[in-house]
This record gives sequence, C-alpha cells and structure tokens, in this order.
Amino acid sequence: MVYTVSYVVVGGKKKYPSGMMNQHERPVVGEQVKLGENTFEIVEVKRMLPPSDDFEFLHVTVKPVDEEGDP
Amino acid sequence: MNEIRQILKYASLFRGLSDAQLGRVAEIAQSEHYNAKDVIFSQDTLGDKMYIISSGQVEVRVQDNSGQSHSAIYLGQGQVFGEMALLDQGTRSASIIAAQNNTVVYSIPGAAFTILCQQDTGIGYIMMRNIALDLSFKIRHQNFDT
Repeated sequence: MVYTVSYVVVGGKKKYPSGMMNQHERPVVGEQVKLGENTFEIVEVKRMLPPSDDFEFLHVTVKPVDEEGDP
Repeated sequence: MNEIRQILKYASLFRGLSDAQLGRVAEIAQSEHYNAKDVIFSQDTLGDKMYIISSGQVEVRVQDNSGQSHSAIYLGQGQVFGEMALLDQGTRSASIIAAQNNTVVYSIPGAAFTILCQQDTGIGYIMMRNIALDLSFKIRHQNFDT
C-alpha cells in the first residue's frame, strides 16, 4: 500500500506551509515529520478518500515541535 | 529505467497503468537533479513539462497580486507538479524551488506526453482520470488548509 498524505499544520505562532507526500508507512499519531526545514508532530490521522489501486489517501493534522515550551 | 518505473508506481498519478504502459511513460521521462534553493520553474512562465518527485522535497511559492510571495506547501516523494500548465496551456501558477539538496525529479515533456496518450488511448484515459483525481485530492487538501 502507498499512502498519499496531506499534512496540514495547526497551532503555532505563525502560519506554516502544509505538505503532501507519498509514503510506504502509514503515519501514526505522535510521530514526527519534516516539512521543509520545520519539524512537526502528528496529532490526528483521518482517511480522506476511499483506497483505490493500492493507494490510500489520508489527511494528517500536525503541530510544530520547535515551538513547544516557548512562552 | 527500473528506477523510474519504481517511482512511477509510487506516484498515485500513474496508478492503474500496466507494467508495459509504465515502461512507455518511463521512456519519455528524464531525471533532473537540484540542490536546495534551486528554482525548477517560475510563476507566470510558460510550462511544457510536468514533474514527479523521486527524492527530496520542493517548495511551492505563490506571489499574490500585491507582489507578496509566500510558501504555500511542500511536496515530497511521489508527488506531481506542473500538470496544470500541461493541461490548460496556461502559465505556471506558482514557483517551484528545491527545498533540499539532492532533490531528484523526473520531468515528462508535454508534447511527448500528448503523443503517447494519442498513440495509446488506454494510457490517455487512465492518465486523464488520474490527473482529475489528483487535482481533486489537492482541492480537498486546500479545503482543510484554509
């Protein structure tokens, strides 16, 4: 199975660009992902579209990691 | 040739194509290598290729009417970009910049792609369906990101 994943960033002090990529491993809550130079933690994974031809389409919500603990 | 076939199998844009059909697409694809901050193409220029990301990430930068430029999204392995200008013959809707060193993309020239789709209408049907589904996925993504 190939997972086509749409990453959307929530929270943070600024608006971060989102991301989109294909991967062999299904994303899991708590894992980290790098979009550009920024690192994010996965907070939610949802199916966006039904699977088709060995592809599954997921929507993943992430939050910035670097900003945690900042005032 | 095997490497490009593996990448094509990994890109949802080519799902449903047989190994033989993937081979025909692979024949017209060429690899391009970029380092971080290299511009792959610029907004508002004419486009004659679409691209599949083999490794690394690219940044999609959009300049609005006021001249302000912002980073809209990062695309990673298996993602396709540049397909819009190929379909509608319009100019590029964004600039694409390599976000990492050793970013490798495969480009498919529009003219060769059109000839291939005309010669093998099976490829043409599947590819046009997949391009529509891919754009649908991107619109759904955009809906979540606003």
